[in-house]
Amino acid sequence: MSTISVVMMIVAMVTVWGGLLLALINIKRSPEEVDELDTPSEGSREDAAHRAATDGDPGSRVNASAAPESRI
Amino acid sequence: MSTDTTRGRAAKEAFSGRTMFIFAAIGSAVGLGNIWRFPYVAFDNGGGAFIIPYLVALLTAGIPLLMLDYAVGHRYRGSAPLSFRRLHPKLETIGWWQLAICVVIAVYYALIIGWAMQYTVFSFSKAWGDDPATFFMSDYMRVSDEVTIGFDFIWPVFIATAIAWLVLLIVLMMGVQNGIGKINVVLIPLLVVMFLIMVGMALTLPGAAAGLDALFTPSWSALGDSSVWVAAYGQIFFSLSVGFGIMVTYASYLKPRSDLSGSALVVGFANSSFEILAGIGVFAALGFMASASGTGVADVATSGIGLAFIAFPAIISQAPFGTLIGVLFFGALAFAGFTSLISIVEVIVAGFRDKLGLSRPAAVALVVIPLAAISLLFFPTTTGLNLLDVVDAFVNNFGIVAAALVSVLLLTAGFSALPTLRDHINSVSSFKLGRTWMIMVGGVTPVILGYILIDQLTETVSQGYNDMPQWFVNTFGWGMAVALIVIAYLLSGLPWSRRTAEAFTSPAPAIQDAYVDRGTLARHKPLSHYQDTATRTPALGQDFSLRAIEDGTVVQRQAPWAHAGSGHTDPVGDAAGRSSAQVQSRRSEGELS
Repeated sequence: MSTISVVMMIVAMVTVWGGLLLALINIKRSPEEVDELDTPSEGSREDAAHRAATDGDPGSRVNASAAPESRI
Repeated sequence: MSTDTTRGRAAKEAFSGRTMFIFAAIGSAVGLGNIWRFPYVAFDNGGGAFIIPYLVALLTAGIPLLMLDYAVGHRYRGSAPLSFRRLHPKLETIGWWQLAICVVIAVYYALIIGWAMQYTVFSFSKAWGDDPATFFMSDYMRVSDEVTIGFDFIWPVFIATAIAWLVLLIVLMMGVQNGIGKINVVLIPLLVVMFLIMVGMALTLPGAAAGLDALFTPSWSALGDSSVWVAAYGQIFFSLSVGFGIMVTYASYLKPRSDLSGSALVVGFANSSFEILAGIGVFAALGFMASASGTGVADVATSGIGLAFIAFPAIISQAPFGTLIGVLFFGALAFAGFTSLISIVEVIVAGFRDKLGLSRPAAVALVVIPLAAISLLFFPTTTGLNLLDVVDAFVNNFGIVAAALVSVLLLTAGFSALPTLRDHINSVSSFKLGRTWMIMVGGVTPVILGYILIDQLTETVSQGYNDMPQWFVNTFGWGMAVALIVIAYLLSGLPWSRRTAEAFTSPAPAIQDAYVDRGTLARHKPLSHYQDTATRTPALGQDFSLRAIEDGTVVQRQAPWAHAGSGHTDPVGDAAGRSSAQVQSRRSEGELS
C-alpha cells in the first residue's frame, strides 16, 4: 500500500471509530433516569380496551385526570 | 401494575431501556447498503478523499435527520401516521406515505435475505461452480429474457423467502421488547463479530493490500466535483434509515426520559463504523480476486447484487478457507438484512395498529401475511429480478427522497415545528442542540435532497430506466411511486379507532410549539422567542414520565387559542400559565382552524 492510502485509511478509521467512541463516552456520562413506572408490561391491551369502552366520553377524561386514581 | 392502562389511549409498548433501543436502531441502520453499497460508492467517488464529504454529510445531514425522526417519534409517541397526525392533522398523509414506502421495500427486501440464506448454504458446496455470474442469472434465478410479470416460480428461492417471512412473523408477534429488542441485542454483536473475523481473513489473502490501496488512495480533485458530494449525502441518507418512518416508530418505544441526541450520535457513528469495516473487508477480498485473475482492482470492483452474489462467490471459490469466508459473509448479509426488515415491517404494523386500535398479534397477522403473500407471488419468479430492480430504484429515488424532502420542508417552513422538536430533544438529552441543528435540518438537507431528487428525475425522464420497456417502468416505477402518495392521502382520510382518536394530543409536555408560533405569526408578532431556549420553554421543567402520561398531567393543558380573542398574545406567558386552572383539551398540537 502507498503511504497516502495508509494515511487515509488511518484517518477514516480514527475519525469514524473515534467518533463512535466519543459518542459512547458521551452517552455513558448521562445515566438513564429510572422511572418507577418505566416497566411497561405487554399484553394488557384488553384492559386498555375495556377502559376505553367504559369511559368513552372525552369530557370525563378531563375530570379524571384532574384527580387521578391511584393505579399502583 | 401496568403502564398500558392509559385512559382511553391505545396501549404503548416500549423498549426496556436505551441500550436495547440503540441496538434496534443500529440493526435497522446497518443493512445491505452498508455491506454492498458503501465500499463501491467510496471507491468510485474519490477513494480516500471520499471520507471528507462523507463525514461532512454524516454531521450536517445524517445525524441531524436522525435526531429529527427521533424527536417526532419520541415526542408524539406513536407510529409514523399517528405521530405526524398528533403534530398536525394535515401531516398524517406524510406518515402514511412513509408507511407505504416501507410496504414496497419490505416485499422485495425479504427476497434478498432469502438469497443470502441460500448462498450461506451454497458456500459449503460452492454450488456456483466456475462461473458464478451464469449460475446466479441462469441456473439459480433463471432470469427471463422478457421484462414482464410472470408467475413461473423458482421453488428453492420461494421456500427461502418464505422462511424469512415466517421468522419475521414470529419475531414481530413476540413484541417490541421480547421480539424486536432481544433479537437485535443478539444479532448485532454476532454480526459485528462475524464481520470482524471475515475482514481479518480477507486481510490475510494475497492481494489484499492492492485492494485497500485502490479503496483508500485519495483523488483530491474529486472534492471539487459536486456529484461526489451528492454521492456522499446519498450514501449517508440511504444508509441511516432516515425519513421513512423507521426511526419515528422505534423512538416512540423509548421511555419518556431518554437521551435522544446522545443515542442519535451513537447510532449514526456506529452505522458509519460498520461501513468503514465493510469497505476494508470488501476491498481486501476484491484485491485478492484481482490478483488471482491477473486484472486490476478497478476491473473487478462492483456493488449491489453483482458484488454479493457474483464477485463474492468467485472469491470464496478461490480463497483458502473460502467456505468459512462465505458462511461469514452471507450470514452477515442475511443478519444485517433481517434486522433492517424487522424495522421496516414494524413501521407498517405500528401504523395499522394505531389506526385500527388492534392488539399486536392481530396487527402483525393483518400486515405480515398479506405482505408475505405479495412478496412470494411476485418476486421468487423468473421475472422477479427485473421487478426488484425497477421497484428498488424508484422507491428509493422517488419515494424515500421525495417523502423526506416534503416532510422536512413541511416541518420547517409549513408548520414551523423545528423549534418545538429541538426543545423537546434538549429537554431529555445530554447533547444540547442549538440553532445549528435547525439550519442543518431545515436548510442544508432540503437543498441536498431537492438536488438529488431533481437530478434523478431529469436523468430518468430523459434516458429511461436501464433500457427497460416503457410500460414496465411506467407501471412499477412511476406508477408505483405516484400510487404511494395517492394511497397515503386516501388512508389519511379514513377514521381512526376511537381509542386512538381520543389521544390525539401529544402526550409530551407543552413546549412553545409550532402551533403557538403560527399563531404569533398570524398576529404579526416577531418570533423573538426563537433566540433562547431557556426563555421560550418554561415547560421544559415539566414532568415527562410514563407516570405523568398515565395521569394525564402533561396532556391536559391550556389551549393556546383560548387567548386568541382576549388580546393576550404573549407566547411565553401562555406557556407559563399553561398549568393553570383553565384546562382545555385539544385534539392535536397543530389543530388551529
